[in-house]
Amino acid sequence: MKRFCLLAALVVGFGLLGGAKPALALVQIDLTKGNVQPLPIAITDFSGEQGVAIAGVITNNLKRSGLFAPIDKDAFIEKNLGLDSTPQFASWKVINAQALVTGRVTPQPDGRLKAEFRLWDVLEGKQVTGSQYFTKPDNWRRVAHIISDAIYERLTGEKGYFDTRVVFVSETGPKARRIKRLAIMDQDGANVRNITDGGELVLTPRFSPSSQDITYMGYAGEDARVYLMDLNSGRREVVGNFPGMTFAPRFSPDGQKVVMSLQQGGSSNIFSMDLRSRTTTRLTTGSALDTAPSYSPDGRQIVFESDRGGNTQLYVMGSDGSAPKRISFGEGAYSQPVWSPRGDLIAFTKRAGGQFGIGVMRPDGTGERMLVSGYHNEGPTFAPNGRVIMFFRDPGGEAGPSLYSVDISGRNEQRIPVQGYASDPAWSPLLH
Amino acid sequence: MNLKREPGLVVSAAFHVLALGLSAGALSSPKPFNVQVESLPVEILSPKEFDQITRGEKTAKSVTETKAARVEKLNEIETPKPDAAPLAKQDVVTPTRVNTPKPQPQDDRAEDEDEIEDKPKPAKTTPQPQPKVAEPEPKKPEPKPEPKLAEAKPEPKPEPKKPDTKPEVKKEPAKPEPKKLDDIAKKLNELPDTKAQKAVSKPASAQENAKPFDASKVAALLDKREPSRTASTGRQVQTTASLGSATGTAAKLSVSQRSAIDGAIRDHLSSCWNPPYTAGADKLNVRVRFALKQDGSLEAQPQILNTNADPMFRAQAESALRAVRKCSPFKLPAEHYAYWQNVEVNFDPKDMFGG
Repeated sequence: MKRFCLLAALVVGFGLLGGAKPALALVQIDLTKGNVQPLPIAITDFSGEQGVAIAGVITNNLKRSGLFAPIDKDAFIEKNLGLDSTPQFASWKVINAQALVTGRVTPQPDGRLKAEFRLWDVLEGKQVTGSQYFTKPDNWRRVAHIISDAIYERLTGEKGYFDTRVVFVSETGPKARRIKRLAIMDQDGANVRNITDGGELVLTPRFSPSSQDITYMGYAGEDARVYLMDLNSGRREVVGNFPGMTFAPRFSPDGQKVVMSLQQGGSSNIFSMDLRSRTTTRLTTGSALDTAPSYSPDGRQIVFESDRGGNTQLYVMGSDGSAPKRISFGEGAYSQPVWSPRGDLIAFTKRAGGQFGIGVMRPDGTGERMLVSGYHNEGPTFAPNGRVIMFFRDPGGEAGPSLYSVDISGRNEQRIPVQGYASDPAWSPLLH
Repeated sequence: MNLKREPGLVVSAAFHVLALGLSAGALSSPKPFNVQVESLPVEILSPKEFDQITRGEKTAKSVTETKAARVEKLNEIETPKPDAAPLAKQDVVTPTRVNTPKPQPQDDRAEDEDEIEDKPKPAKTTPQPQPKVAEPEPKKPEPKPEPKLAEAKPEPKPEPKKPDTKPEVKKEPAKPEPKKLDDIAKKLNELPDTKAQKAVSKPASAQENAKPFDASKVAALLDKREPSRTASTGRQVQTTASLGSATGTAAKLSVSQRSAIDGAIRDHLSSCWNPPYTAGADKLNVRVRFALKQDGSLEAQPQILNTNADPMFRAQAESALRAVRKCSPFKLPAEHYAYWQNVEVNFDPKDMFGG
């Protein structure tokens, strides 16, 4: 019996082992290394009038994003691919395209323009997405931007930022007598339009979330005032009538409030004003210089710069002014903070060791890193998808500043091709 | 009953069962062992040489290998005939592997393949285990009755005798072995093919009874045990049919061969994989499974295995699918097709988007 039990135990033990399933023949691999390369994409000229121009705007947008590598049209093997034909995928594979865009523009009897496109996955040999848009003929650029966003979103998963505008200060004239006007343009530098006439000094224009209004600072006489301007009508009004000078206005995410700094005596404090009731609330107190406020995307917090601790640093407080907390601790002076629309980062200008740079940090102050640094870089603004930052750079000397963009990893710095000099950019939300 | 008076026995048996059970559970679905480093002393042969070696000679002594399970082991624990190490060694060294009874050319190559476990022609030129037969002894503890997944721990010396005789038998059997091998082979023949590695060490009967024990049916269980025994080694990854090709030389792959094939697939995919570099994408991993034809091209559309509510997941998943499609056809050794015909890749960009 004893031996029997012993044997039993052994048998049971082996039985358990025996129960182990044979494993399937399966190679299992963990892949953590790939190529961070732009996706090779072929964008064929759209058929129809303005088709070539639309394809050109799309190509330019995707290329400048840094995530796509449009293939030179001369390399295409299959030519004149119409919107309704199925591409010969093999010929696109040969030139290494992984995605393919075809399209067509057709004038409609009612005078509108119909623009359609298809996005193909070359390797799978299938259409990925396609859409059609109707618009006024003058608006063909916007359609190109909207199509660019559709392609970008489908292939990266992120929302696009091409159908947006940027308001900025356009500068002309010699350095000693620069004329500054408010201007607005498409994010790619096209369609520049002046909004003010240059009669007064204008600074720090900012978009409302509805993107029909902008707020900016202008000097009327000797006083600096914050203004609201309706882009469509051109009407403008002064925001509040405070004694003292008001600076650095920004909208709240719901568009209901404008937050700004008001200088009285030797200090400046942050105030918010409700645009409907016109009531103002003081958010910071003290004798320091508190300015450049920026709301978090959920509207619950405000980041601002203050020299209350000595040199200028960044602070975060509740949108009611409660519990201000310092978040920047590096060497140097931090200013002009702006909260990303994604909520994950705060961008700022930092002056240290004789250099000006644009950096980002998490809202709790950790993870600080610089994206660009040099003789001069300032005034960051985020694209609506939180991935790209625009800023301006003054090379010094007699030349004037220009606008640049860089992505939040610090890669893909690009100059925005605007005529003349430009500074103080502010990015609108997506227009569609 | 004696047990009452010997509680220690009961306790001991219970603990043994528990330990075996736990280890069985732990081992029953082993994670692939990515063993990159093998400290086996190896002799490097070119695939051609090895092939010649493993082809064997018609005049070689044919060892009736028990149909050792052609085991495509995940973890190469084979004991390349540890015993007679010194002799084996010499034999191994000389390319004339007479010992290796891999009767490739002869009868079922498949079978023998397993024994050798070294892939006859590891395309990757990993030193065939053959050469190391002698050395590896220490390595391959496999026969340990306990399924020791551990890559061959050196226990071997003491074991060598046993393990050798096991299915490996065929391979290395150094001259001195042959006799022994024959004996063992005979014994092994009794056992349901192979796997038995461990069986060898353990009393065959015990193995036979591996199944849930039923005292009254032990005899019946004996016969039934075979199939499960195959699995029970824990090293058994495939059943016979999958091992090797009909004409192939060895189907069994050593750890280094497997990792070489894995590495080739990984490196190739790495060059094809181009995930969109977007914020937050570094947290989105995508698991893809695909089946390959013998020529390395895709058998069917690759499949995504995981899901994620994140809006960026689809774009990452599609970039993983694009990578697989772009990389097809894969250039992999046809003779090991059974090993790499199904691939599952976890595309994990966590380290890619620095900053």
